[in-house]
Amino acid sequence: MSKLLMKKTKQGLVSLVQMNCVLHWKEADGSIYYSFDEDGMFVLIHGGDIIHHLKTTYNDENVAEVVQNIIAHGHLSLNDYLNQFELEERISKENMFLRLYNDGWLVQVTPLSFSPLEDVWQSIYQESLRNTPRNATTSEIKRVNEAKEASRIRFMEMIDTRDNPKDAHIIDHGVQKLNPELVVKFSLSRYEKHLRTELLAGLIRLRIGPLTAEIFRHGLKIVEKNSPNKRHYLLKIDGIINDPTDEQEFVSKIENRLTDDRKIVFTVRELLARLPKSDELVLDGSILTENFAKPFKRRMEDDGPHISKKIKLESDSNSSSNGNDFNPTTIALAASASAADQDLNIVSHHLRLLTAQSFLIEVSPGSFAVPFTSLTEKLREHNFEMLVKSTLGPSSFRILRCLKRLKLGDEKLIASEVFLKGEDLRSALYKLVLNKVVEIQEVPRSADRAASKTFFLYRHKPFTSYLYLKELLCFSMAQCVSQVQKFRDENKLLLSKTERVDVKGFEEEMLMELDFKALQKLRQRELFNLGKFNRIKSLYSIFQ
Amino acid sequence: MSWRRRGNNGLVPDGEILPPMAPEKPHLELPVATPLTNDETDSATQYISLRSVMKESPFYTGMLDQNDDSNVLGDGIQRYSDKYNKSTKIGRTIEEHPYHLAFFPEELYSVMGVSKREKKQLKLSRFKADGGLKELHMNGNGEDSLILQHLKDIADDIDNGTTEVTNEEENEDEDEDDEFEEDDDDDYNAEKYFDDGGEEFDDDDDDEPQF
Repeated sequence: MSKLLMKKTKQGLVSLVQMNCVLHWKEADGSIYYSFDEDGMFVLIHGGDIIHHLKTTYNDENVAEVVQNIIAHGHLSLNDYLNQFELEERISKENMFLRLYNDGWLVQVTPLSFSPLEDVWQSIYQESLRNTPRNATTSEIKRVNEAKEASRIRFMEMIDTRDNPKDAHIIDHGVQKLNPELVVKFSLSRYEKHLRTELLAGLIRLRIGPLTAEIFRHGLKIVEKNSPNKRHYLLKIDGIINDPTDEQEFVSKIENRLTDDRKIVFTVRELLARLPKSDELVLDGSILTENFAKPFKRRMEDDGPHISKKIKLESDSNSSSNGNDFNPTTIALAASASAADQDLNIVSHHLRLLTAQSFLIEVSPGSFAVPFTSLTEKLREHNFEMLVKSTLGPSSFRILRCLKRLKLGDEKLIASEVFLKGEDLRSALYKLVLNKVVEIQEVPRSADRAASKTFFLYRHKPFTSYLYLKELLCFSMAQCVSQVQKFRDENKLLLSKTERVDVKGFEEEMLMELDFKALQKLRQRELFNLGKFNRIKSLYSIFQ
Repeated sequence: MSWRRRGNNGLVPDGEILPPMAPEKPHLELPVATPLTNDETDSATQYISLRSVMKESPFYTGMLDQNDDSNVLGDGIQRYSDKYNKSTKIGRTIEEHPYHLAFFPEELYSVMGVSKREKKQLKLSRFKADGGLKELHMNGNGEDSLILQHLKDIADDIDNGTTEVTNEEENEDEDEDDEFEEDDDDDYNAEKYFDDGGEEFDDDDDDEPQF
């Protein structure tokens, strides 16, 4: 089909398997089938963002170098990487690997990582069916359900063993290290959790304010590593969970278990310890509390000349002087304690504000859980509405909101709800129908479905709208990339000049002024288009 | 062709078939993209760097239609400047990477250099904070946004356009003067007929003897 030579095809497959873009499965008859794995592709697409984020998080370019090499090689073994360095550098690189692994950015690679989950599931399920004999007393449906349940348990155990291996760490001279034989790759699911954190913080910034968003972001960072994956692996396999209600139940069960285990719960004190210094994040006066006047009153009382308690000393001069040895320290301690209490108070109020808007759940006084499932849905809804508002216009946005509330409505009802005239309403509805935001429901009034007796209702279905939007965003991303390629092709001559060995690194001296300026413009355009690509990509990740 | 009205507004000649009216698409005013932030620029820069690292890695199998890497323009014509082009990587092939064979099916072993006994090493890349774009000195303010630069260029063009207009006007005047001067030179230049005694031999190009 590809009309490539066998050798070229095999080389291509080797590259793709190495980069985690292709999975393979060997059937019982010995034939090997290859399938596409989008996770590997997404790691490459997010590559620039990943390197930049980790460089910023760890504030270390060496960490960025390690991650760059892991992404560029797909997966690699620790031994192969560390053997190229001297002892000192090797130890520091080992520590980097340990940090990245413990923080969840790297995961172990096993042969199971290269097998499609659907095929693994099918083989376990078929085996389980064969091992569950038919019984006269048990119906076929019950037998199938039993087999499915047993397969599910076995499958989940297998995947958990792959994701949480026991042999990843070793103890060497009392120091915990990573097993040198470990083969690692970059964890896309971990990065998706970070993306989710940033997007949720962005939502809070718009809804409530930047300070509350910053506090919320730090709270999410505490629980980010243990938060649920964007999409559980069981939900990616057809046939395991079919019913949407079952799917919702399954997802809620996972979240409840994480909340009970306190994996996605943080306390106010933990958050306060994690917040940046007061000069970077000024929270004073950021929120009106119930007793906002009292902390100031207390301070004024403490700083005033009338101090309630005095230490009685032998000499009178000491007792009457303001420079008493103990009083300034007492005042300082009291002031710092009250400042810490005040910060705690303010942060608590910010968290209560988030709880009131259902962005957090207070599981116990001072402990807050993050409801990721409902927040993800809110994020999608909000971004979809903003896209409709900014691209299709405010009238379309009003109609969408109206249809969400009404569920189903005809033209007259919508016109009366959104206060739009017939023509304006029809043109706005046309835009919405064209972009699959709104669907038309035909309602016949007679048995023969005569056109004269049929009327049309409009409704909004999020699932299909999001699917279509995803395709549109994908197309826009492809357009950005093809734009970059297009003006690289247009300036092929100039680029060939700059790629010359004698010119590279000396562009300013070797190129003419016009060529140099053109090259600058080209670079800026490329960066700008890649920036646009990344922005659309972050939108795509919301609806993925 | 009859231009008389027959039920139309008189602007369309009879008998002519007009193209159908293009359907009016709804006019969408899309929001304008704001300039990139520092973080976004850094991410894009690192993406370009990663792309170049991938291109130099042994896993880059090349383009289908590019057979001769030394010819960058791909038109098959050999040029003097081809000797300055980056030479095709010979050392690093797909067979020189240290693979973990357990992760690959056996049918691919033939192209993975399994039979080669020499020890294989990973080829590691260095991290560049500027993504390898440092060589291009971005004229002081590397952070000039594209839009601002574009506006600057438009302003420059307008300024150049006005000076060009004035220059053209001056040139036209000069041309006019030149024309008149040319007319004066040959026929009405009295000095032409004035015999100075010192320049008469300048016009003589032939070798005839002087009397």
